[in-house]
Amino acid sequence: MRKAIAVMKKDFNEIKKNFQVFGVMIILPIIFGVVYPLILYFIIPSLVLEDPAALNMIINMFSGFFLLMAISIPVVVAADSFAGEKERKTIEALLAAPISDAELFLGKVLVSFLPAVILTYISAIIYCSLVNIALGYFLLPNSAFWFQMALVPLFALLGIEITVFISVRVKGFREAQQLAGVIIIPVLGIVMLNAFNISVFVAPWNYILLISIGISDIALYSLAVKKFGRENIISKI
Amino acid sequence: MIRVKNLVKHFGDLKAVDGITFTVENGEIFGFLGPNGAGKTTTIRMLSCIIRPTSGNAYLNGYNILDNPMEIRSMVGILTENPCLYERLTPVANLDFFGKLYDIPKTIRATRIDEILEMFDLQDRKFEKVETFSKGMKQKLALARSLLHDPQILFLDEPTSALDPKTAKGVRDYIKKLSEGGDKIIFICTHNLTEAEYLCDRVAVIDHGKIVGIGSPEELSRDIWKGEQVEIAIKNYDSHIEQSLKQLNFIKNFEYQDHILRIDVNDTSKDNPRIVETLVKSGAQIVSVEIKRHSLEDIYLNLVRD
Repeated sequence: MRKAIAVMKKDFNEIKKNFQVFGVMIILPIIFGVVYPLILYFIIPSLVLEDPAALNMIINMFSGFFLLMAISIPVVVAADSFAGEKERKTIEALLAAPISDAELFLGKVLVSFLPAVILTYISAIIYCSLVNIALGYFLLPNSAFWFQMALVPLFALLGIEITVFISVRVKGFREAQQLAGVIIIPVLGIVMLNAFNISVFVAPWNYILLISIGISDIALYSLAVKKFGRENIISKI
Repeated sequence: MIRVKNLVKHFGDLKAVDGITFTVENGEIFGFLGPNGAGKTTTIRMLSCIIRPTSGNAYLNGYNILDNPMEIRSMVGILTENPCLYERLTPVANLDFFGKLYDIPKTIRATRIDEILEMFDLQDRKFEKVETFSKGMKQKLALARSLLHDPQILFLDEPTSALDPKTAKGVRDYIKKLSEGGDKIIFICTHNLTEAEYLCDRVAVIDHGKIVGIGSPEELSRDIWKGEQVEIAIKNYDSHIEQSLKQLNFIKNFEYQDHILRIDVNDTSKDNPRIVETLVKSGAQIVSVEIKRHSLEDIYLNLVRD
Protein backbone atom coordinates (compact mmCIF):
# COMPACT_ATOMS: atom_id res chain seq x y z
CA MET A 1 0.00 0.00 0.00
CA ARG A 2 2.92 2.35 0.81
CA LYS A 3 4.26 2.07 -2.73
CA ALA A 4 0.79 2.53 -4.25
CA ILE A 5 0.54 5.80 -2.31
CA ALA A 6 4.00 6.81 -3.58
CA VAL A 7 2.81 6.24 -7.17
CA MET A 8 -0.37 8.19 -6.44
CA LYS A 9 1.53 11.16 -4.97
CA LYS A 10 4.04 11.21 -7.82
CA ASP A 11 1.28 11.12 -10.43
CA PHE A 12 -0.67 13.83 -8.63
CA ASN A 13 2.42 16.07 -8.56
CA GLU A 14 2.77 15.55 -12.29
CA ILE A 15 -0.92 16.18 -12.98
CA LYS A 16 -0.78 19.48 -11.10
CA LYS A 17 1.83 20.62 -13.58
CA ASN A 18 -0.03 19.35 -16.65
CA PHE A 19 -2.72 21.83 -17.59
CA GLN A 20 -4.11 19.55 -20.32
CA VAL A 21 -5.09 17.02 -17.65
CA PHE A 22 -5.58 19.22 -14.60
CA GLY A 23 -7.65 21.75 -16.55
CA VAL A 24 -10.21 19.12 -17.60
CA MET A 25 -10.36 17.83 -14.02
CA ILE A 26 -11.21 21.27 -12.71
CA ILE A 27 -13.57 22.45 -15.48
CA LEU A 28 -16.20 19.74 -14.89
CA PRO A 29 -16.64 20.45 -11.16
CA ILE A 30 -16.85 24.17 -11.91
CA ILE A 31 -19.60 23.55 -14.50
CA PHE A 32 -21.56 21.05 -12.41
CA GLY A 33 -20.88 22.52 -9.02
CA VAL A 34 -20.98 26.24 -9.67
CA VAL A 35 -22.34 27.21 -13.11
CA TYR A 36 -25.41 24.91 -13.13
CA PRO A 37 -26.39 25.69 -9.54
CA LEU A 38 -26.09 29.39 -10.28
CA ILE A 39 -28.40 28.99 -13.28
CA LEU A 40 -30.83 27.10 -11.04
CA TYR A 41 -30.50 29.77 -8.40
CA PHE A 42 -31.74 32.37 -10.84
CA ILE A 43 -34.45 30.34 -12.62
CA ILE A 44 -35.88 28.50 -9.60
CA PRO A 45 -37.83 31.42 -8.10
CA SER A 46 -39.78 31.98 -11.34
CA LEU A 47 -40.28 28.23 -12.01
CA VAL A 48 -41.65 27.67 -8.50
CA LEU A 49 -44.56 29.89 -9.44
CA GLU A 50 -44.92 29.07 -13.15
CA ASP A 51 -44.24 25.32 -13.64
CA PRO A 52 -43.49 23.16 -10.59
CA ALA A 53 -43.32 19.99 -12.79
CA ALA A 54 -40.59 21.47 -14.97
CA LEU A 55 -38.74 22.57 -11.87
CA ASN A 56 -38.86 19.04 -10.50
CA MET A 57 -37.51 17.63 -13.77
CA ILE A 58 -34.68 20.11 -13.92
CA ILE A 59 -33.64 19.50 -10.32
CA ASN A 60 -33.75 15.73 -10.86
CA MET A 61 -31.77 15.97 -14.08
CA PHE A 62 -29.10 18.17 -12.59
CA SER A 63 -28.89 15.90 -9.56
CA GLY A 64 -28.14 12.96 -11.84
CA PHE A 65 -25.24 14.85 -13.35
CA PHE A 66 -23.14 14.07 -10.29
CA LEU A 67 -22.91 10.44 -11.30
CA LEU A 68 -21.86 11.58 -14.74
CA MET A 69 -19.32 13.85 -13.14
CA ALA A 70 -17.91 11.07 -10.97
CA ILE A 71 -17.27 8.95 -14.03
CA SER A 72 -16.12 11.80 -16.34
CA ILE A 73 -13.60 13.63 -14.14
CA PRO A 74 -11.20 10.69 -13.76
CA VAL A 75 -11.27 9.58 -17.41
CA VAL A 76 -8.55 12.00 -18.45
CA VAL A 77 -6.26 11.14 -15.54
CA ALA A 78 -6.91 7.41 -15.78
CA ALA A 79 -6.37 7.42 -19.56
CA ASP A 80 -3.04 9.12 -18.96
CA SER A 81 -2.00 6.64 -16.24
CA PHE A 82 -0.07 4.11 -18.30
CA ALA A 83 -0.62 5.37 -21.84
CA GLY A 84 0.85 8.76 -20.89
CA GLU A 85 3.89 7.14 -19.33
CA LYS A 86 4.37 5.09 -22.49
CA GLU A 87 4.12 8.19 -24.66
CA ARG A 88 6.58 10.11 -22.51
CA LYS A 89 8.84 7.03 -22.34
CA THR A 90 9.00 7.00 -18.56
CA ILE A 91 7.40 3.62 -17.98
CA GLU A 92 10.39 1.27 -18.24
CA ALA A 93 12.15 2.43 -15.07
CA LEU A 94 8.85 2.16 -13.21
CA LEU A 95 8.29 -1.39 -14.45
CA ALA A 96 11.81 -2.34 -13.42
CA ALA A 97 11.25 -1.09 -9.86
CA PRO A 98 10.33 -3.45 -7.01
CA ILE A 99 6.62 -2.71 -6.94
CA SER A 100 4.00 -5.40 -7.44
CA ASP A 101 1.47 -5.26 -10.27
CA ALA A 102 -1.35 -4.86 -7.72
CA GLU A 103 0.38 -1.89 -6.00
CA LEU A 104 1.20 -0.21 -9.29
CA PHE A 105 -2.35 -0.63 -10.59
CA LEU A 106 -3.79 0.57 -7.28
CA GLY A 107 -1.56 3.67 -7.26
CA LYS A 108 -2.72 4.58 -10.75
CA VAL A 109 -6.37 4.01 -9.76
CA LEU A 110 -6.11 6.07 -6.56
CA VAL A 111 -4.71 9.15 -8.28
CA SER A 112 -7.85 9.28 -10.43
CA PHE A 113 -10.28 8.11 -7.75
CA LEU A 114 -9.63 10.47 -4.87
CA PRO A 115 -9.84 13.79 -6.79
CA ALA A 116 -12.93 12.55 -8.67
CA VAL A 117 -14.83 11.60 -5.51
CA ILE A 118 -13.73 14.63 -3.49
CA LEU A 119 -14.54 17.10 -6.27
CA THR A 120 -17.90 15.43 -6.93
CA TYR A 121 -18.89 15.64 -3.26
CA ILE A 122 -17.80 19.27 -2.99
CA SER A 123 -19.83 20.12 -6.10
CA ALA A 124 -22.82 18.23 -4.71
CA ILE A 125 -22.69 20.16 -1.45
CA ILE A 126 -22.57 23.49 -3.33
CA TYR A 127 -25.41 22.35 -5.60
CA CYS A 128 -27.68 21.27 -2.73
CA SER A 129 -27.01 24.45 -0.79
CA LEU A 130 -27.82 26.75 -3.73
CA VAL A 131 -30.99 24.81 -4.65
CA ASN A 132 -32.25 24.92 -1.06
CA ILE A 133 -31.44 28.61 -0.73
CA ALA A 134 -33.18 29.40 -4.04
CA LEU A 135 -36.26 27.38 -3.10
CA GLY A 136 -36.41 28.80 0.38
CA TYR A 137 -36.98 25.37 1.90
CA PHE A 138 -35.03 22.14 2.39
CA LEU A 139 -35.37 19.85 -0.68
CA LEU A 140 -31.94 18.32 -1.24
CA PRO A 141 -30.44 15.95 -0.40
CA ASN A 142 -33.48 13.70 -0.60
CA SER A 143 -33.26 9.90 -0.37
CA ALA A 144 -32.62 9.46 -4.11
CA PHE A 145 -29.87 12.06 -3.95
CA TRP A 146 -28.24 10.32 -0.98
CA PHE A 147 -28.38 7.11 -2.90
CA GLN A 148 -26.65 8.70 -5.87
CA MET A 149 -23.97 9.98 -3.53
CA ALA A 150 -23.44 6.43 -2.30
CA LEU A 151 -23.03 5.35 -5.90
CA VAL A 152 -20.47 8.08 -6.71
CA PRO A 153 -17.35 6.22 -5.46
CA LEU A 154 -18.57 2.92 -6.93
CA PHE A 155 -19.22 4.39 -10.37
CA ALA A 156 -15.99 6.39 -10.25
CA LEU A 157 -14.04 3.24 -9.40
CA LEU A 158 -15.69 1.25 -12.18
CA GLY A 159 -14.94 3.92 -14.75
CA ILE A 160 -11.35 4.30 -13.55
CA GLU A 161 -10.64 0.57 -13.52
CA ILE A 162 -11.93 0.21 -17.08
CA THR A 163 -9.97 3.26 -18.24
CA VAL A 164 -6.70 2.26 -16.53
CA PHE A 165 -7.11 -1.24 -17.98
CA ILE A 166 -7.50 0.31 -21.45
CA SER A 167 -4.54 2.59 -20.75
CA VAL A 168 -2.35 -0.46 -20.06
CA ARG A 169 -3.21 -1.96 -23.40
CA VAL A 170 -3.08 0.92 -25.86
CA LYS A 171 -0.15 2.91 -27.16
CA GLY A 172 -1.19 6.48 -26.49
CA PHE A 173 -3.19 8.76 -24.24
CA ARG A 174 -5.64 9.90 -26.97
CA GLU A 175 -6.49 6.32 -27.92
CA ALA A 176 -7.13 5.45 -24.27
CA GLN A 177 -9.29 8.52 -23.75
CA GLN A 178 -11.39 7.87 -26.86
CA LEU A 179 -11.99 4.23 -25.96
CA ALA A 180 -12.76 5.07 -22.34
CA GLY A 181 -15.28 7.71 -23.40
CA VAL A 182 -17.75 4.91 -24.15
CA ILE A 183 -18.18 4.12 -20.44
CA ILE A 184 -20.08 7.37 -19.98
CA ILE A 185 -22.98 6.17 -22.18
CA PRO A 186 -24.68 3.80 -19.68
CA VAL A 187 -24.38 6.42 -16.93
CA LEU A 188 -25.87 8.99 -19.26
CA GLY A 189 -28.80 6.59 -19.74
CA ILE A 190 -29.40 6.41 -15.99
CA VAL A 191 -29.21 10.19 -15.71
CA MET A 192 -31.75 10.65 -18.52
CA LEU A 193 -34.14 8.10 -16.98
CA ASN A 194 -33.85 9.96 -13.71
CA ALA A 195 -34.58 13.27 -15.42
CA PHE A 196 -37.85 11.84 -16.76
CA ASN A 197 -38.84 10.54 -13.33
CA ILE A 198 -38.08 6.90 -14.20
CA SER A 199 -35.73 6.52 -11.31
CA VAL A 200 -33.47 3.56 -10.65
CA PHE A 201 -32.69 5.16 -7.31
CA VAL A 202 -35.72 3.67 -5.56
CA ALA A 203 -35.99 0.24 -3.93
CA PRO A 204 -35.38 -2.45 -5.02
CA TRP A 205 -33.47 -1.16 -8.08
CA ASN A 206 -31.22 1.04 -6.00
CA TYR A 207 -29.98 -1.92 -3.96
CA ILE A 208 -29.59 -4.09 -7.04
CA LEU A 209 -27.58 -1.31 -8.71
CA LEU A 210 -25.45 -0.72 -5.62
CA ILE A 211 -24.60 -4.39 -5.16
CA SER A 212 -23.98 -5.09 -8.84
CA ILE A 213 -21.68 -2.09 -9.28
CA GLY A 214 -19.85 -2.99 -6.05
CA ILE A 215 -19.31 -6.57 -7.22
CA SER A 216 -18.22 -5.33 -10.65
CA ASP A 217 -15.65 -3.05 -9.01
CA ILE A 218 -14.07 -5.92 -7.08
CA ALA A 219 -14.21 -8.36 -10.01
CA LEU A 220 -12.77 -5.86 -12.45
CA TYR A 221 -9.92 -4.94 -10.09
CA SER A 222 -8.95 -8.59 -9.69
CA LEU A 223 -9.22 -9.20 -13.42
CA ALA A 224 -7.25 -6.07 -14.29
CA VAL A 225 -4.39 -6.96 -11.90
CA LYS A 226 -4.35 -10.54 -13.18
CA LYS A 227 -4.24 -9.43 -16.80
CA PHE A 228 -1.91 -6.48 -16.09
CA GLY A 229 1.36 -7.98 -17.39
CA ARG A 230 4.40 -5.70 -17.59
CA GLU A 231 5.09 -7.25 -20.97
CA ASN A 232 1.79 -5.88 -22.34
CA ILE A 233 2.96 -2.42 -21.42
CA ILE A 234 6.55 -2.63 -22.58
CA SER A 235 5.55 -4.11 -25.93
CA LYS A 236 3.46 -1.00 -26.66
CA ILE A 237 6.30 1.50 -26.25
CA MET B 1 27.06 -13.40 -9.97
CA ILE B 2 24.79 -13.69 -13.01
CA ARG B 3 24.21 -17.15 -14.45
CA VAL B 4 22.11 -17.27 -17.60
CA LYS B 5 20.95 -20.69 -18.71
CA ASN B 6 19.56 -21.29 -22.16
CA LEU B 7 17.41 -18.16 -22.09
CA VAL B 8 14.84 -17.88 -24.88
CA LYS B 9 12.37 -15.15 -25.74
CA HIS B 10 9.92 -15.29 -28.62
CA PHE B 11 7.61 -12.48 -29.70
CA GLY B 12 5.16 -14.39 -31.88
CA ASP B 13 7.24 -15.95 -34.63
CA LEU B 14 10.25 -13.74 -33.91
CA LYS B 15 13.02 -15.35 -31.87
CA ALA B 16 14.38 -12.25 -30.15
CA VAL B 17 16.68 -14.26 -27.88
CA ASP B 18 17.49 -17.79 -28.92
CA GLY B 19 18.97 -19.92 -26.16
CA ILE B 20 21.77 -17.83 -24.65
CA THR B 21 23.99 -19.13 -21.84
CA PHE B 22 26.70 -17.19 -20.04
CA THR B 23 28.05 -16.22 -16.64
CA VAL B 24 29.18 -12.86 -15.26
CA GLU B 25 31.33 -12.77 -12.12
CA ASN B 26 31.12 -10.22 -9.34
CA GLY B 27 33.29 -7.15 -9.91
CA GLU B 28 33.19 -7.50 -13.68
CA ILE B 29 32.23 -4.93 -16.26
CA PHE B 30 30.56 -7.06 -18.87
CA GLY B 31 29.78 -5.76 -22.34
CA PHE B 32 26.86 -7.05 -24.32
CA LEU B 33 27.47 -6.14 -27.94
CA GLY B 34 25.45 -6.61 -31.05
CA PRO B 35 23.71 -4.85 -33.90
CA ASN B 36 20.28 -3.24 -33.52
CA GLY B 37 17.61 -5.86 -32.98
CA ALA B 38 20.13 -8.53 -31.97
CA GLY B 39 18.40 -9.16 -28.62
CA LYS B 40 20.43 -6.99 -26.23
CA THR B 41 17.59 -4.96 -24.76
CA THR B 42 15.29 -7.99 -24.60
CA THR B 43 17.98 -9.80 -22.58
CA ILE B 44 18.33 -6.88 -20.15
CA ARG B 45 14.55 -6.70 -19.80
CA MET B 46 14.41 -10.40 -18.95
CA LEU B 47 17.29 -10.16 -16.48
CA SER B 48 15.71 -7.17 -14.74
CA CYS B 49 12.33 -8.99 -14.58
CA ILE B 50 10.38 -6.61 -16.77
CA ILE B 51 9.47 -9.41 -19.17
CA ARG B 52 9.45 -13.17 -18.67
CA PRO B 53 11.44 -15.55 -20.82
CA THR B 54 9.69 -18.02 -23.10
CA SER B 55 11.99 -20.69 -21.67
CA GLY B 56 15.24 -21.00 -19.79
CA ASN B 57 16.17 -19.20 -16.61
CA ALA B 58 18.73 -16.82 -15.13
CA TYR B 59 20.10 -16.54 -11.61
CA LEU B 60 21.21 -13.23 -10.17
CA ASN B 61 23.09 -13.61 -6.88
CA GLY B 62 21.16 -16.82 -6.27
CA TYR B 63 17.68 -15.52 -7.11
CA ASN B 64 16.03 -16.69 -10.30
CA ILE B 65 14.07 -14.47 -12.64
CA LEU B 66 11.04 -16.77 -12.78
CA ASP B 67 10.37 -17.16 -9.07
CA ASN B 68 11.99 -14.12 -7.40
CA PRO B 69 11.21 -11.07 -9.54
CA MET B 70 10.73 -8.70 -6.57
CA GLU B 71 14.04 -9.69 -4.94
CA ILE B 72 15.83 -9.23 -8.27
CA ARG B 73 14.22 -5.87 -8.98
CA SER B 74 15.33 -4.71 -5.53
CA MET B 75 18.99 -5.63 -6.07
CA VAL B 76 19.26 -4.43 -9.65
CA GLY B 77 19.71 -0.90 -10.96
CA ILE B 78 18.79 -0.18 -14.54
CA LEU B 79 19.60 2.65 -16.90
CA THR B 80 17.27 2.22 -19.82
CA GLU B 81 17.95 3.49 -23.32
CA ASN B 82 15.60 6.43 -22.62
CA PRO B 83 16.36 8.25 -19.37
CA CYS B 84 12.77 7.56 -18.11
CA LEU B 85 12.62 10.74 -16.04
CA TYR B 86 9.50 12.62 -15.01
CA GLU B 87 10.31 15.88 -16.72
CA ARG B 88 7.73 18.03 -14.97
CA LEU B 89 9.25 17.09 -11.62
CA THR B 90 12.57 18.12 -10.07
CA PRO B 91 15.55 15.77 -9.70
CA VAL B 92 14.79 15.54 -5.98
CA ALA B 93 11.16 14.57 -6.62
CA ASN B 94 12.25 11.98 -9.21
CA LEU B 95 14.80 10.42 -6.89
CA ASP B 96 12.55 10.59 -3.84
CA PHE B 97 9.85 8.69 -5.72
CA PHE B 98 12.23 5.91 -6.75
CA GLY B 99 13.77 5.94 -3.27
CA LYS B 100 10.34 5.04 -1.89
CA LEU B 101 9.85 2.29 -4.47
CA TYR B 102 13.28 0.83 -3.61
CA ASP B 103 12.47 0.92 0.14
CA ILE B 104 15.18 3.39 1.10
CA PRO B 105 14.20 4.42 4.65
CA LYS B 106 12.85 7.95 5.02
CA THR B 107 15.55 8.78 7.59
CA ILE B 108 18.39 8.34 5.09
CA ARG B 109 16.60 9.04 1.79
CA ALA B 110 17.20 12.79 1.72
CA THR B 111 20.88 12.38 2.63
CA ARG B 112 21.34 9.69 0.01
CA ILE B 113 19.68 11.87 -2.65
CA ASP B 114 21.96 14.77 -1.76
CA GLU B 115 25.04 12.54 -1.91
CA ILE B 116 24.16 11.09 -5.28
CA LEU B 117 23.28 14.48 -6.79
CA GLU B 118 26.60 15.79 -5.50
CA MET B 119 28.40 12.84 -7.08
CA PHE B 120 26.88 13.70 -10.46
CA ASP B 121 27.33 17.48 -10.13
CA LEU B 122 23.59 18.11 -10.10
CA GLN B 123 23.26 19.71 -6.66
CA ASP B 124 22.87 23.24 -8.04
CA ARG B 125 19.90 22.24 -10.19
CA LYS B 126 18.17 19.92 -7.75
CA PHE B 127 15.00 22.02 -7.43
CA GLU B 128 14.64 22.83 -11.13
CA LYS B 129 12.34 20.89 -13.41
CA VAL B 130 14.07 18.12 -15.34
CA GLU B 131 12.55 19.41 -18.60
CA THR B 132 15.01 22.32 -18.43
CA PHE B 133 18.02 19.95 -18.39
CA SER B 134 20.35 19.15 -21.27
CA LYS B 135 20.54 15.58 -22.61
CA GLY B 136 23.77 14.98 -20.75
CA MET B 137 22.33 16.16 -17.45
CA LYS B 138 19.29 13.96 -17.94
CA GLN B 139 21.52 10.98 -18.63
CA LYS B 140 23.53 11.71 -15.49
CA LEU B 141 20.33 12.00 -13.46
CA ALA B 142 19.08 8.70 -14.89
CA LEU B 143 22.37 7.09 -13.93
CA ALA B 144 22.06 8.64 -10.46
CA ARG B 145 18.58 7.14 -10.16
CA SER B 146 19.85 3.70 -11.14
CA LEU B 147 22.50 3.93 -8.38
CA LEU B 148 20.30 5.44 -5.69
CA HIS B 149 19.66 2.17 -3.85
CA ASP B 150 23.28 1.05 -4.22
CA PRO B 151 22.43 -1.95 -6.43
CA GLN B 152 24.66 -5.01 -6.56
CA ILE B 153 24.02 -5.39 -10.28
CA LEU B 154 23.77 -2.51 -12.69
CA PHE B 155 22.29 -2.83 -16.18
CA LEU B 156 23.18 -0.01 -18.52
CA ASP B 157 21.47 0.05 -21.89
CA GLU B 158 23.36 2.29 -24.33
CA PRO B 159 24.57 4.58 -21.52
CA THR B 160 26.20 7.15 -23.79
CA SER B 161 24.00 7.05 -26.87
CA ALA B 162 22.96 10.49 -28.09
CA LEU B 163 25.47 12.25 -25.85
CA ASP B 164 28.12 14.65 -27.05
CA PRO B 165 31.69 13.29 -26.82
CA LYS B 166 32.60 15.24 -23.67
CA THR B 167 29.50 14.19 -21.74
CA ALA B 168 29.89 10.61 -23.00
CA LYS B 169 33.43 10.56 -21.63
CA GLY B 170 32.15 11.88 -18.32
CA VAL B 171 29.57 9.09 -18.10
CA ARG B 172 32.19 6.47 -19.06
CA ASP B 173 34.49 7.76 -16.34
CA TYR B 174 31.67 7.48 -13.78
CA ILE B 175 31.06 3.88 -14.82
CA LYS B 176 34.76 3.04 -14.58
CA LYS B 177 34.95 4.67 -11.16
CA LEU B 178 31.96 2.67 -9.98
CA SER B 179 33.62 -0.62 -10.72
CA GLU B 180 36.88 0.22 -8.99
CA GLY B 181 37.53 -1.89 -5.94
CA GLY B 182 33.96 -3.10 -5.64
CA ASP B 183 32.15 -6.30 -6.32
CA LYS B 184 29.34 -4.75 -8.34
CA ILE B 185 28.48 -6.29 -11.67
CA ILE B 186 28.14 -3.70 -14.39
CA PHE B 187 26.39 -5.08 -17.44
CA ILE B 188 26.57 -2.75 -20.42
CA CYS B 189 24.57 -3.10 -23.62
CA THR B 190 26.14 -1.12 -26.39
CA HIS B 191 27.11 -1.04 -30.02
CA ASN B 192 29.75 1.53 -29.26
CA LEU B 193 32.85 -0.67 -29.59
CA THR B 194 35.34 1.94 -28.44
CA GLU B 195 33.34 2.34 -25.27
CA ALA B 196 33.16 -1.42 -24.74
CA GLU B 197 36.91 -1.76 -25.31
CA TYR B 198 37.61 0.99 -22.78
CA LEU B 199 35.21 -0.23 -20.11
CA CYS B 200 34.67 -3.95 -20.31
CA ASP B 201 36.65 -6.81 -18.80
CA ARG B 202 34.75 -9.28 -20.94
CA VAL B 203 32.22 -9.00 -23.72
CA ALA B 204 29.59 -11.18 -25.31
CA VAL B 205 28.60 -10.59 -28.91
CA ILE B 206 24.97 -11.39 -29.70
CA ASP B 207 23.59 -11.64 -33.20
CA HIS B 208 20.12 -12.75 -34.26
CA GLY B 209 19.42 -13.73 -30.65
CA LYS B 210 22.42 -16.05 -30.31
CA ILE B 211 25.74 -15.46 -28.61
CA VAL B 212 28.39 -15.74 -31.29
CA GLY B 213 31.40 -14.96 -29.11
CA ILE B 214 32.21 -14.44 -25.46
CA GLY B 215 35.38 -13.62 -23.51
CA SER B 216 37.94 -10.88 -23.08
CA PRO B 217 38.97 -9.14 -26.31
CA GLU B 218 42.28 -11.07 -26.14
CA GLU B 219 40.51 -14.41 -25.73
CA LEU B 220 38.11 -13.66 -28.55
CA SER B 221 40.95 -12.59 -30.78
CA ARG B 222 42.79 -15.84 -30.01
CA ASP B 223 39.68 -17.91 -30.71
CA ILE B 224 38.96 -16.22 -34.01
CA TRP B 225 42.45 -16.05 -35.42
CA LYS B 226 43.54 -19.33 -33.78
CA GLY B 227 46.38 -17.77 -31.86
CA GLU B 228 48.21 -14.50 -31.53
CA GLN B 229 50.92 -12.68 -33.39
CA VAL B 230 53.97 -11.01 -31.95
CA GLU B 231 55.92 -8.41 -33.93
CA ILE B 232 59.61 -8.08 -33.08
CA ALA B 233 61.74 -5.38 -34.62
CA ILE B 234 65.29 -6.76 -35.18
CA LYS B 235 68.27 -4.90 -36.62
CA ASN B 236 70.48 -7.86 -37.62
CA TYR B 237 68.20 -10.68 -38.82
CA ASP B 238 70.20 -13.51 -40.46
CA SER B 239 70.07 -17.25 -41.20
CA HIS B 240 71.46 -18.14 -37.76
CA ILE B 241 68.54 -16.42 -36.08
CA GLU B 242 66.17 -18.05 -38.56
CA GLN B 243 67.54 -21.52 -37.75
CA SER B 244 67.19 -20.97 -34.01
CA LEU B 245 63.54 -19.95 -34.45
CA LYS B 246 62.85 -23.07 -36.52
CA GLN B 247 63.88 -25.17 -33.53
CA LEU B 248 61.06 -23.68 -31.41
CA ASN B 249 58.26 -26.14 -32.12
CA PHE B 250 55.53 -24.01 -30.51
CA ILE B 251 55.92 -21.40 -33.26
CA LYS B 252 53.21 -21.94 -35.85
CA ASN B 253 54.60 -19.65 -38.50
CA PHE B 254 56.98 -16.73 -38.91
CA GLU B 255 58.15 -14.27 -41.55
CA TYR B 256 60.66 -11.44 -41.67
CA GLN B 257 59.92 -8.33 -43.66
CA ASP B 258 61.08 -4.70 -43.44
CA HIS B 259 63.08 -5.33 -40.24
CA ILE B 260 60.00 -6.78 -38.55
CA LEU B 261 59.79 -10.43 -37.54
CA ARG B 262 56.16 -11.59 -37.35
CA ILE B 263 55.63 -14.77 -35.35
CA ASP B 264 52.33 -16.66 -34.94
CA VAL B 265 51.95 -18.44 -31.60
CA ASN B 266 49.13 -19.82 -29.50
CA ASP B 267 49.59 -17.70 -26.41
CA THR B 268 51.95 -14.73 -26.34
CA SER B 269 51.99 -14.50 -22.55
CA LYS B 270 53.54 -17.99 -22.38
CA ASP B 271 55.57 -18.05 -25.60
CA ASN B 272 57.03 -14.52 -25.78
CA PRO B 273 59.68 -14.94 -23.05
CA ARG B 274 61.00 -18.09 -24.72
CA ILE B 275 61.14 -16.43 -28.15
CA VAL B 276 62.95 -13.38 -26.79
CA GLU B 277 65.41 -15.59 -24.89
CA THR B 278 66.16 -17.62 -28.03
CA LEU B 279 66.61 -14.51 -30.16
CA VAL B 280 68.97 -12.91 -27.64
CA LYS B 281 71.02 -16.10 -27.42
CA SER B 282 71.29 -16.11 -31.23
CA GLY B 283 72.73 -12.61 -31.13
CA ALA B 284 69.65 -10.75 -32.36
CA GLN B 285 69.57 -7.04 -31.56
CA ILE B 286 65.96 -6.53 -30.52
CA VAL B 287 64.59 -3.03 -30.89
CA SER B 288 61.01 -3.67 -29.80
CA VAL B 289 58.53 -6.43 -29.03
CA GLU B 290 54.86 -5.83 -29.63
CA ILE B 291 51.90 -8.14 -29.41
CA LYS B 292 49.72 -7.49 -32.39
CA ARG B 293 46.25 -6.94 -30.99
CA HIS B 294 43.06 -7.12 -32.99
CA SER B 295 40.74 -4.32 -32.04
CA LEU B 296 37.32 -5.08 -30.67
CA GLU B 297 36.01 -3.70 -33.92
CA ASP B 298 37.96 -6.37 -35.87
CA ILE B 299 36.59 -9.02 -33.55
CA TYR B 300 33.02 -7.73 -33.76
CA LEU B 301 33.05 -7.45 -37.52
CA ASN B 302 34.40 -10.95 -37.78
CA LEU B 303 31.67 -12.33 -35.52
CA VAL B 304 28.74 -10.31 -36.86
CA ARG B 305 28.84 -10.94 -40.54
CA ASP B 306 25.64 -9.48 -42.01
